[in-house]
Amino acid sequence: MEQLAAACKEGDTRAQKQLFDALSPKMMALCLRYMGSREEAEDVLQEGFITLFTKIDSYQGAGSFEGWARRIFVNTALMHLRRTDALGLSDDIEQAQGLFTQEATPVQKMGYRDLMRMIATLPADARTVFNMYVVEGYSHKEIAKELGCTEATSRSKLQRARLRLQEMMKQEQ
Amino acid sequence: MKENEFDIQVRNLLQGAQESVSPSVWEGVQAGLARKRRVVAFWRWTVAVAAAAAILVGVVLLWPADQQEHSNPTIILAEAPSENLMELPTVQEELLPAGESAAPATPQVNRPVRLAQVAKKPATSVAQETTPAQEAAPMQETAPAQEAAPVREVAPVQDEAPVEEAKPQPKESDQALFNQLAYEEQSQNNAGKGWSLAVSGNLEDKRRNTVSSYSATRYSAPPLSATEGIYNENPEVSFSLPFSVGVGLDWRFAKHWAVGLGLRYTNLSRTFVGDYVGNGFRLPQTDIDNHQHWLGIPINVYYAFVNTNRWRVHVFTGGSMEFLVDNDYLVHGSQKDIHYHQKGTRPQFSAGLGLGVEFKITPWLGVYLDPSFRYYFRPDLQPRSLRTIQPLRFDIEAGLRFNLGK
Repeated sequence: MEQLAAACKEGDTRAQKQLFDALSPKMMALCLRYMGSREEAEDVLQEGFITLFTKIDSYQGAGSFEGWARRIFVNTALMHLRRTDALGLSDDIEQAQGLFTQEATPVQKMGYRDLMRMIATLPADARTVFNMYVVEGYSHKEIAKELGCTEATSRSKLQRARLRLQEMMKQEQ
Repeated sequence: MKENEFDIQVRNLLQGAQESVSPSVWEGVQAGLARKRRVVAFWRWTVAVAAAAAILVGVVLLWPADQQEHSNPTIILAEAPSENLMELPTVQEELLPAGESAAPATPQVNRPVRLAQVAKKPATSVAQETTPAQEAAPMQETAPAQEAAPVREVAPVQDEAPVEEAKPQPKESDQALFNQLAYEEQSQNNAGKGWSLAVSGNLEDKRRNTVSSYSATRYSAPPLSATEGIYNENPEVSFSLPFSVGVGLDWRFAKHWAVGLGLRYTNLSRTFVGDYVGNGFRLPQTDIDNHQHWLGIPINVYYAFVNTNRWRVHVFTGGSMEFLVDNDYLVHGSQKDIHYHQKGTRPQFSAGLGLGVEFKITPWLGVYLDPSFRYYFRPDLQPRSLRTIQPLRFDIEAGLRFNLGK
């Protein structure tokens, strides 16, 4: 993939297509997780690739190319969510903390499609924090900085998302 | 289940997941990239034109005034021993009212403009301009021993003393004056009749109307038995900035009129998605680059309504006949790129109308800018290009013009 990226820097259109073919299925899954609907995910995917090919010169080879690309798509998804005012991050923390449960949930019995369907039903703000923290590995500090909220709000949203998912999993069983 | 365990299990399930992607996403990416390239190209072009204009303005504003200094009337007065210079009017003639001049009237040929301007001022103001302190600067360029001479020549003028009293001596700086006179004579000649050779480049705009006629067609693959060619062109197409280079010969047959004949190469490029059918194989919906190489013969008539030693502003109109010398399709999508050369096209005729400006850097060399509108007749008979989509085009020709004399 790094070689394809180098060819893309030279303006090779075939390399661009090959890179798109290699990356797009994974990035589509990422976009779908953030956006919830396929149409919006494809919009984000398209915009993300345009940004990626436009800014590919800034990739200096430090770290994996896929990791660098993943950040572009996450940022693009966040931009879309901000544009649609889907990130209403001003929830009260107490309510979310009160809902926490320690009860076990058999995630391993879930299929990928089921989990994606459940994530899609989460509110956009909780879904975003959940994706960033659990899947992408952002810290609450980083999330708070990216989303313009407090770390406490980020924690609250994450907790809300976890509980909601666990409830749904329970109901499915 | 602990909080961490839940997260880890979810992460394991989601990381590395893949989803199918609609083909329209890649088309959208290509279109988006093409749009960005167009924007970048537009700004580069704009900056280049602005830079060229700034340089032109800079050249005009900062053009050295040393040539004008040679036409200072006091210098002429002090350096009039040669026959040519004796034909020039003296400051005395310029300053005295009609009828008071002691010397007979002489032709005004090649009289420097600066001289005429100074002559309109009152005698006292000219005298002030020729005080010893001000004279010192130009005279330092010549022999210091002769500095006093012009001062003495000017003082009697103020006192209405006869000019004949002046005893000017020949000086080495005469050559500079002769050069100046020769320059102006040459400039006048070049502003009139003669030949010139132009070397130029063109840039056309890339604006185009929306393509609607292609959008409603339903895709069906061409048969393998079809003749070699390109089929099912996708409506989305990315055009590169058209450019031309050329040479031309202009003949100024009258003071204001000129006719020009040239030879011009033009490159039109586009990228699109379509089907290619070769010898028994087919590449469906693949990337194709099309490069059209045109060779044209433009003929223009120019009318210059401003024609000075430095500037020439003209309107022009004319026609052009262009031949498509090569229509090259570069087909991607297989292991090796395929070149397909389409044959059999008719000449392309066009007519143009424009307004141009030329700045003469020297009497023999000018830089010019000729923006114009050009209409291409029957573009539907030609391979698809910006011209077929929008036959009325705006282009800017910029170049150098070498004046060859008569």
